[in-house]
Amino acid sequence: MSPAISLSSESKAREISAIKTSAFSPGIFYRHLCQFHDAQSSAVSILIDSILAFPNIVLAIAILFYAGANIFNLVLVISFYTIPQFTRISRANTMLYAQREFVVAARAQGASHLRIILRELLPNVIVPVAAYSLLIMSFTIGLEGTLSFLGVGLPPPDPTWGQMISDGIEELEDDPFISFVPSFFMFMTILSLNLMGDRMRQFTDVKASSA
Amino acid sequence: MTDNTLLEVEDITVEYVTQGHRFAAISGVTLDIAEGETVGLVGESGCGKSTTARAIIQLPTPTAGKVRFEGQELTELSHAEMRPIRQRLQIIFQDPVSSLNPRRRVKDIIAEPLFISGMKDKAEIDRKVREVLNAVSMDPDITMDRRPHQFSGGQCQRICIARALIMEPKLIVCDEPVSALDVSVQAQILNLLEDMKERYGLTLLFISHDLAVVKNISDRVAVMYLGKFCELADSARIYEAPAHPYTAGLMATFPEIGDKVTNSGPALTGEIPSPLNPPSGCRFRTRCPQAEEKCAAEEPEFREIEPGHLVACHFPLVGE
Repeated sequence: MSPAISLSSESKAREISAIKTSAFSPGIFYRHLCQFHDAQSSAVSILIDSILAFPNIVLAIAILFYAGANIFNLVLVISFYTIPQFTRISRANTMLYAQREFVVAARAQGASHLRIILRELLPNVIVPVAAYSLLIMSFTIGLEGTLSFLGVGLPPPDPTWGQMISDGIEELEDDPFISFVPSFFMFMTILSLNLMGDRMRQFTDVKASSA
Repeated sequence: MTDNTLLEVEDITVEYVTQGHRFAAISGVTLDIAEGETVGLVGESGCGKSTTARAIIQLPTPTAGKVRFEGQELTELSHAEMRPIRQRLQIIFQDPVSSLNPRRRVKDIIAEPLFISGMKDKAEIDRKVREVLNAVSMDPDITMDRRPHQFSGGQCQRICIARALIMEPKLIVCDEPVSALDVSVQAQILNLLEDMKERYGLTLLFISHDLAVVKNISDRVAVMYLGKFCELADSARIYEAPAHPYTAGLMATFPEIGDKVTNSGPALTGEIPSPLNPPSGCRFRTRCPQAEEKCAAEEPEFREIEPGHLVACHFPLVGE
């Protein structure tokens, strides 16, 4: 059991970091660029809203069913659902900070748009986004678990929690631990990430108000 | 216009579009500032003082009109072409806390104009930052590694002034630099600005809604109402004999210790009309105690009633 779990968490870690980088970078950069171009910004907003309007799990199952369940497709599908969330939070924060006078001050000193994005906006926007990314991480673990449980997650030999839970279902009466142990670890991981995320958000909120 | 004119603002208009309506935040503002001079700009909230300040530094570029700084036309320059000029044309904002990035250290904030100008020599940057911090009476050793939220409003404004000074500018536009501060701190910052003016040979455009503050610091004072200038004169003259009824009204709302005659004119009543739909003719006529038919029909010209004293009124209280 234990090597399976450690293997699982290792591949999980890889998976999560892949999901995070793919969702995070386009989300935040697109929004930053768009902030300076209102027309494009509203076009992106419409796109983001239409992504959010799709039924979440059903579409993911459909895509994975047709495109084939492998790690690349799984990362792609999960990223697809996390981009809007990152986009929204970085957009909201960018808009908030873009109005502050230090941005005008930087422009008054002749700073270029790129410099303002990197030096003035990004350091402020990255903190709430980082706090939020912990919450997103727990969401993606849950989503992956759901997909695996429904049979469109990673195929064996790659182990995942959802798949392990699903495998144990048939023997639930005789050996409940086969499902129970991965469920417990998934639960604890998600809980920890949520608690960390909440804590970090509180921390950044306090900072922002005192500044 | 004299030979040593540093800044010429000629007939600038700034228009905004809100909810499909175009409106002019300022229209037809003309002002010359000579080198070494301090010009005060007063008016009620929302009359376009800050818009004027931002139009001068080209953020945003005025919709119409010209701004010449050291003889160079600014309105047609690109962002990159403006960069070297911005070093000599600085601005200080009303809210010192908001104008400092909370995530950066004071030394980086103050050195930012140096970084932008491409200076790489760390020792030289450090030396200059220390020099301006000393100039604004802040201890560099204590200040440099801290972040803005560790300072009070007055200290933050000193940091803003240090940042404005580091490129040794010619002109600093002060957009209500003391309005957000306590009265005791206001005096310190005003004295500091005066000292810096002397030390660095600055020219100031000083914007405020507080007549007392402007009176003490300015050589000349311009009064603004609803996006237009209504009076411009020497500081002493305008306080002694205001020609525009609006200026007189403002003076009447401004008490002074030892004043025997409190009524130099009727105090202002009513609200500022919306700039979306300014009154016809003279913009002040809806609140003016001496408005006549002519004021509604015809817009008064901004004209000279005595040397150096300009007023936009059909019936000025002095001169002619």
